[in-house]
Amino acid sequence: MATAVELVEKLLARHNHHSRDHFQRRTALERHHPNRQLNRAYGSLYYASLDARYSPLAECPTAKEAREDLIGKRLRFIIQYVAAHT
Amino acid sequence: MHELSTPTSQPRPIPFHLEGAAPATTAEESSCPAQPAPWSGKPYPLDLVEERFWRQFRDEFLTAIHAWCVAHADRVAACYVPFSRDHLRVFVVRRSPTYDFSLSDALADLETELFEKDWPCEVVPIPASANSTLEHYFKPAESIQVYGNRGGTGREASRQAQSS
Repeated sequence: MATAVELVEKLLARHNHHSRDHFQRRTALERHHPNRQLNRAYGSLYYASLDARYSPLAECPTAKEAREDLIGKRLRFIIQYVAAHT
Repeated sequence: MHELSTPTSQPRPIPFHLEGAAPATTAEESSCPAQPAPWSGKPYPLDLVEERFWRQFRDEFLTAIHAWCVAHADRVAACYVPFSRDHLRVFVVRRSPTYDFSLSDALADLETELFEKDWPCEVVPIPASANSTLEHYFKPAESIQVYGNRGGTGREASRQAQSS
């Protein structure tokens, strides 16, 4: 998630936006980059990070899911999107 | 002057009802006669602004969230909107005992939908096991329950979805 935050901040910096918290970052992303796949990817990583922090281990994504879905698909999409737009 | 009776039950979320549905009230709420608003005979602009805000809040924000919950009733057990001092938050209690990837996409879409309606908010999914310990996440007594039943197994929400 930290990588995704840094990437999104890099993306938003081009619009001279710097977020103080998740809500500011998320709304700025919606405003400047209304891309459904991007917002889904970033949203999923954020929700998973909440689970990792606050939920019982049994309710968190497994290591395999984190590796294959969260990192392999969603974070990968964010990396590609940011590379193409910065 | 009417004296309010001492509440006999614990503070609880305010249930949200779509227009036309009969609101459920506790015994003490039912025994309290409705009072006309003190400003009802003389509308001030601020009252009108407030009234319009609450109408839009109900019709645009709460109704959209309720409809989303009904559409995802198989994966959503309950939903709450606490009265927040900074920005709006929507707490969604999921049914799945494990992380639900299909729900996370739908939650992100809900955030987008509400942003597009000019109701930016933060949607926060909380695990199924948290439905009986909501106090860890927000103050249930200072929230609106948009959907589902607190502490229920989820069957009540299913029935609600089927009857909608």
